[in-house]
Amino acid sequence: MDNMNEIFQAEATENLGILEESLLELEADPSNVELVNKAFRAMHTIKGAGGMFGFDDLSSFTHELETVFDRVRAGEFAATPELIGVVLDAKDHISGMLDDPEQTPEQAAAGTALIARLRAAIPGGGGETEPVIAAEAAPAAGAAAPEKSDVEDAELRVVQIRLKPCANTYELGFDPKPVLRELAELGEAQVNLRTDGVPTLQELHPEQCSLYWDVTLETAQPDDAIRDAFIFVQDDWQIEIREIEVDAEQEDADRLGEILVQRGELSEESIQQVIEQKSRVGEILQSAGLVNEEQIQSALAEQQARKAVRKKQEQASQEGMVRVPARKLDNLVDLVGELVIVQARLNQLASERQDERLFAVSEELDRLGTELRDTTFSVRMLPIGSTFSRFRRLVRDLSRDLGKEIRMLTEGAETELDKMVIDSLGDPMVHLIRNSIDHGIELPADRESSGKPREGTIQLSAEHRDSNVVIRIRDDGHGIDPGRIRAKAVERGLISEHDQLTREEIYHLIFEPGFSTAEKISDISGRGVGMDVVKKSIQALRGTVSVDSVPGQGTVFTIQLPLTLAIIEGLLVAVSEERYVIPMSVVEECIELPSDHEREKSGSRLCNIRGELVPYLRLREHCMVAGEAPGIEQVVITCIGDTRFGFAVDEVVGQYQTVIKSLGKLYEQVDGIAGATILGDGGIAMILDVAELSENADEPPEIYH
Amino acid sequence: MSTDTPAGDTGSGFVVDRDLTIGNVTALQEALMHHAWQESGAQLDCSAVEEIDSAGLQLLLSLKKHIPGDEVTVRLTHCCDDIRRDLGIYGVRDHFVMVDDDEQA
Repeated sequence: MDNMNEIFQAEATENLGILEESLLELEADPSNVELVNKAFRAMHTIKGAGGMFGFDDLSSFTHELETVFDRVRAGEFAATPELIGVVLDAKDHISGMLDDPEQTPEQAAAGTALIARLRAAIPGGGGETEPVIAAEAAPAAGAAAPEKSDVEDAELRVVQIRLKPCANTYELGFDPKPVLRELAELGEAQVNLRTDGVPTLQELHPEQCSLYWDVTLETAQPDDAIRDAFIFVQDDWQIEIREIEVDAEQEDADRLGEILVQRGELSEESIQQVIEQKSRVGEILQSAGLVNEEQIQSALAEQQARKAVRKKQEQASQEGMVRVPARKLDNLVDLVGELVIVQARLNQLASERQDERLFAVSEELDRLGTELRDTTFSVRMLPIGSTFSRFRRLVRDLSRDLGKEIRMLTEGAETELDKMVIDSLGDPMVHLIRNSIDHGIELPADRESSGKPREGTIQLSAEHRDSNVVIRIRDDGHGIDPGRIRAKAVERGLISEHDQLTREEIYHLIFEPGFSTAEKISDISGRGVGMDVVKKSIQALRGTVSVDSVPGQGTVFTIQLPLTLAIIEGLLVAVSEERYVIPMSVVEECIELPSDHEREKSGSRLCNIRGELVPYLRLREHCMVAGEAPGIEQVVITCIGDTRFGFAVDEVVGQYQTVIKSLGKLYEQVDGIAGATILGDGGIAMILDVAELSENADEPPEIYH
Repeated sequence: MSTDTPAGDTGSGFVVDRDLTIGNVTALQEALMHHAWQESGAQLDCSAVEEIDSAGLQLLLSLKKHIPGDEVTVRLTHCCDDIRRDLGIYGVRDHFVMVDDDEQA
């Protein structure tokens, strides 16, 4: 059951995320019925599953929220900002209960206080009374009623559900009762127990389940709501859900026979023979021994339900999903990495032996390996929107604390990124957003006085660019004054008064350790201990972060990240016997470097690329590789952002699928090296950290004076 | 363990002395198998039963098939509200005759 509890906790956390997201959106769009339903369904699922998995306190607490939101759903009152605020706090409380189901007295008291706040927050009074069932409650006087629930407006339909637990369901701790109860809450449910498989006492294996159920449900709920009832049952339960086409014109007894035929419990031939007798079909069939009483009762229930409701089109079928623990995917990616290395060895072997048959196998394996790699990575890719949603709450709470009015906008939330990158991205993004809220966006009155709308905006956007993802955090605050940055940098000794820096370089100073221009230190940001950590965190993901600003108009932070951290396309280069990998995502071109193209000024090396001077680094010198350089060297030109930088090497070997291996603790601090990879011949190649190498290399004289 | 009691008016009686749940079904199965049931009828005193799950329910249905006769009636007496409610959830009320306390008396 520990595993099942883990699954419950993971899914409940997911549902709490959905709840929070829905509430925050609802705050901005209070009449959106779909958002009310979404929040309600999240609560309902958490409550139901909590009860099923023994999180009784959590289930009871959530039930209180659900009851109140059911009334919102019924249109008794609107979801006011006050009510949403309390429910958000309650959502945090549920998170705590999820982490630690054994509540302390203080936590229990906090829960009770929240329930009291919840009731007090019900618009139009009623706070002191027990929550009532929506259908029985009169609309609160004067309460702003949102539009009628779409559930109310939806047509009733009949859904036939067959629920067949797997034989070992009892051993695994599952009982169908909560599922049946949940189904019954969705509408008018006719539950028929099927006992066909129940043996006699002597033959009974009491810990094996041989029961199954037919449930005929009259409901206005969508299929998703019905499927939610089965969220926590095992995959090997047989669940059949089918909507019954209701035709009021055909209510005669013949329909009963059709129902039984549709269910596969009776053949067409048998029913035709009996129908010809023109008597009550059910009785005849039963007396003929063709069906039993249970089958008749179940079919009759369906027949009655058909009479009660009209036809409704079947909801679009939900795509089948499988939930897999992340560690299994991590293992799969590791195995794919190993396979890539083996493939490289095979390719090397084929080259050495000049064996055509081996070449053919190697190429086939290469093709399959690439497909396997791409498929595996695609499984690990998640939309970044899940991370964006987290920040909506952050923006809401912080802006309120600071007395600011801020709206968060998102763009490109569907952009996919490796799960590991997404997980590691949260903290640096939190800091950047906090920085924008605290230092960027002005107080409403200040904004008005400078001709801006009272409400500021923070826009999070994401987009794919080549094999990278570019994330931007843009605010429309007062921007960053480069003069202040520069003055502070001089004061801190980071630069001298005489240094002449480009605007980009000045802004980049804010990522230096200990740098802060905030006049007041707050607990939100402004201690100057964050931006350098942000930069390091992003670099650890093999990404880059930059900032640009227009004073008075706003600031934008740009994060560029690789799509994945496991395998990259690299360019393999050689210096003497040493091999290095340069990530292909930053490679722009390769040129030859005759000696007359080289210029040296102030210790920097520059090469002329079609009239543009581009700084470069000799890897032979930087890595202290012994031996003489060849007469004509190759320069690999890279480009990060607007910065071009070259690496002079002896030879460009070619494109190489690079499985990134960590250097381990001993070498992880080595500057300019992002990792290592194992080559086909068993040798090792270092993967260059292009951003760091270009940043720390001597700057070109055109910029420094 | 369950103990036998004198038979009621409509069949042999049996006192279920514990919850009808998965943890107890094996022991109850043993006791039910060794009870001398009359043809076509059984009466179970459920006053000690506070909880029933589908494993317990399955045991009762299995008993129904075990008892000889064509029209077997299983009467459940002294069922608390929770048991009645749960039998309704399981959709099984029609399979048993629920006997009210007054009626039983």
